[in-house]
Amino acid sequence: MRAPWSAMAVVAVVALSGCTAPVALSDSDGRVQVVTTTGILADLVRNVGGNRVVVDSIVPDNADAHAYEPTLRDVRNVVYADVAFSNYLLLEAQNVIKALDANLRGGVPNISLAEGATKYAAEVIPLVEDASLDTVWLGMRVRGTGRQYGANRSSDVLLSATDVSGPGHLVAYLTESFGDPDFYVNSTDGFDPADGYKDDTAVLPPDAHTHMSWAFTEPGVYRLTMEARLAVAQGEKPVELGRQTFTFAVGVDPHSVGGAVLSAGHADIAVDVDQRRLYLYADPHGGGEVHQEVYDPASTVIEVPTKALKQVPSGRGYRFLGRPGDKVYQLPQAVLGRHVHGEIDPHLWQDVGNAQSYVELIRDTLIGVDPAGAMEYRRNADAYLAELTTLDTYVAETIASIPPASRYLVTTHDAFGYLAHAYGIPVAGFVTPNPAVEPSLADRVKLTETIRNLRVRAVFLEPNLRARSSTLVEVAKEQGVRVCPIYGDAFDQDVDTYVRMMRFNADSLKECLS
Amino acid sequence: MSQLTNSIVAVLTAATLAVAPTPAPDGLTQTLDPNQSVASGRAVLEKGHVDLGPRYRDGDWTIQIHDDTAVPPVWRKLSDVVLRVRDAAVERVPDDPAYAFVGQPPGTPVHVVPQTQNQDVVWVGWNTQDPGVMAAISRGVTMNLLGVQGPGGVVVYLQSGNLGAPQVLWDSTKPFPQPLWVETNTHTHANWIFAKPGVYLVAVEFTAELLDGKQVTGRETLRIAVGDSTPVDDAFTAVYTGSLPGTGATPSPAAVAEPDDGGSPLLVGVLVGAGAVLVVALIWVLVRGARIRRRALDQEESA
Repeated sequence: MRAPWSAMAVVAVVALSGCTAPVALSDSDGRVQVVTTTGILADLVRNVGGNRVVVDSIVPDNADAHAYEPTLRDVRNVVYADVAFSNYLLLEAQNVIKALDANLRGGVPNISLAEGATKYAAEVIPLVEDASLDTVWLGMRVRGTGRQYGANRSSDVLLSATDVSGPGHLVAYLTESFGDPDFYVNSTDGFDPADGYKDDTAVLPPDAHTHMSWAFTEPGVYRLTMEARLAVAQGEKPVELGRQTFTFAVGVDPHSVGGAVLSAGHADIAVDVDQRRLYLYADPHGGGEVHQEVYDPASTVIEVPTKALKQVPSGRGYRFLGRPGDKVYQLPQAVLGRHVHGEIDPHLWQDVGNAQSYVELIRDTLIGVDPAGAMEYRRNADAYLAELTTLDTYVAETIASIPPASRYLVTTHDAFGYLAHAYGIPVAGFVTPNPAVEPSLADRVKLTETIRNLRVRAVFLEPNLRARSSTLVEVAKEQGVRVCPIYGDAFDQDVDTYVRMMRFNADSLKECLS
Repeated sequence: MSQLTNSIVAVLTAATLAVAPTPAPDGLTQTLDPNQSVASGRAVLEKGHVDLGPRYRDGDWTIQIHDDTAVPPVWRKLSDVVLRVRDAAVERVPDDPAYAFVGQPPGTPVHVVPQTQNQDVVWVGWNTQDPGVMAAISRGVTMNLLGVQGPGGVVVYLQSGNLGAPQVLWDSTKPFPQPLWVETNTHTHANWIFAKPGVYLVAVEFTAELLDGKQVTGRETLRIAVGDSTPVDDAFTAVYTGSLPGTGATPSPAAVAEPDDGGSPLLVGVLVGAGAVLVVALIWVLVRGARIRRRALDQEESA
């Protein structure tokens, strides 16, 4: 029963993408008239609606949904629509959403799929507003009370850096309210055992924790050795609490170092007063403290990614990191600014599971508009959901077969967070967050460093953005790496269904990165 | 040497926030005690760690103060608490254009509640770590500044420590409401600057969507006595006289997810349409572009 409908859908798409006789909605057609914002949504609707619906999208293939200006024809389609589907969450240009809102007839459902899909178990991820804050949040922590040694809240736990090895310097510092730095670890002036490492020591009370920035001046692998003592009271001989070496992969592939990788969430270099040992105490998934667990420093690597690369600002106060313009890799002291606006990344469909949520919402919406077709919509949706499950497995297996050390995604804009999250391919970098932002010199520097330090084999470019993505293409050429296609929010003449798009992307990643 | 125990300092957190009488079997997992009690009676908090935050109990969404200066920690009603910012908090505005947002000339003394603790100053943060809240919501809460009444301006900002400019979160000289997104199970401290001594009333609202799609919201007024010479009693008795923005609400996905609910999809359209016109006027410091939640709030405000 499915095949004829699929065939029809393909015919419709071919007609659309050929631009010769585009379908248009009308009031003289017995079928349900559906308008969508993008071609991807139109394809999902066709698979559910089959021959009971006629579907047209506002944004044509090859166009950029973020920037498209609706035409009179689009407005006419909206007027005739019996139901409208948008992605929403700032994916579409304002004028596209306005065209829907202003021209839909009264009572016509206007469905935001990205928002509504959360009711159908779609998994959403917050939009990262500042990529340099999208790193592991690393602090220092004292665990335990030290009561067995007579310690109380006014006792001191001294956490000292005794050595740093690596290609550059390591500075762990705090930026105070008015910008003054305060140092915890500073390798630029060495480590002095004679004075008990006084200048490289953090002092915390028991059961406390704090955060600071961790700056590194060159890419490479660093090893930081720390030791801890408990000073129960002034003048008493301190209790030795142990020593450990912590490993950082700065700008380079952390997998090549070996061991577990801490690249997200909250982690602390912790001294456990009661157990008299140092370890990493981390929750790779959360920002809070509730689910932290012990990680052995000997088999754990802390990642400092190239997206956290910054240049030393001119102006006062930062000379300890180098000269203005020098590059610094850095983990920040506070990560709240990563998403203070609570927006959701709108590109949900890059996770096939989320596309399935869209499909369920489309099914229920069509049933609401056309109850007589309920059985047909359910049957179509069931068949399509099964096809999407197969697709999900294919994408997951294909990407998983790329060696981890090569499995990095570098794109022109930040549209693949869901692909990264669902299929385990970290976004190593992008030129700018969205196509509307012009790349700066600093963006270019960061891109170059990412490709070079991670030995990235290929970068990925959306065909519809090719004309506007000179930076990605130029930097790839300079670094001698391939530019491979990946589809984000739009189809073209070669890739014209959602299923084909996701398969194409998985295959392209595999072929170009392996 | 960073002497965390006196001037600069440590974030006392879940370990101390949490009173976990019986640790989990592995001894590693910390949890906030869901039965932490609510204290009654007035309290003046002028040193130590204090958080503002939502609580959710038996279907009741409230905004309270988590008083970590008490042993064991307790929750308090905002009307029972005055946060007293002593003169030990005074710092001078630096001669640096990056701090022009403070709104005071370089060298001006201002009271600063810092992001990292100054042991001599009450340390005010916010958390979304109440176990009832963590169990009831999926993503986070919107913490909204509705208004400030006081002798001078109030600015709340973050030092992310990423070599970037300070990030202003709230600024009482800008239009209200000023929403700020806070993820669940997080605990944050930022810098608070009070331009002049005196009594400040800070009206805040916490809104969240529960797992079942229902929206909960609560508003409270934070009472702050700034400066040693400001009488604490004045802060207890002060009344917020200004008008507050209409109730803030994030657009509920429930409104768009139910195709059989004829009115709701239309509602969303209206929200977006009106917001598109208004959003430009109310751009939030340091932010790129328009915001869905803000658009909805603007709409609510204008409605």
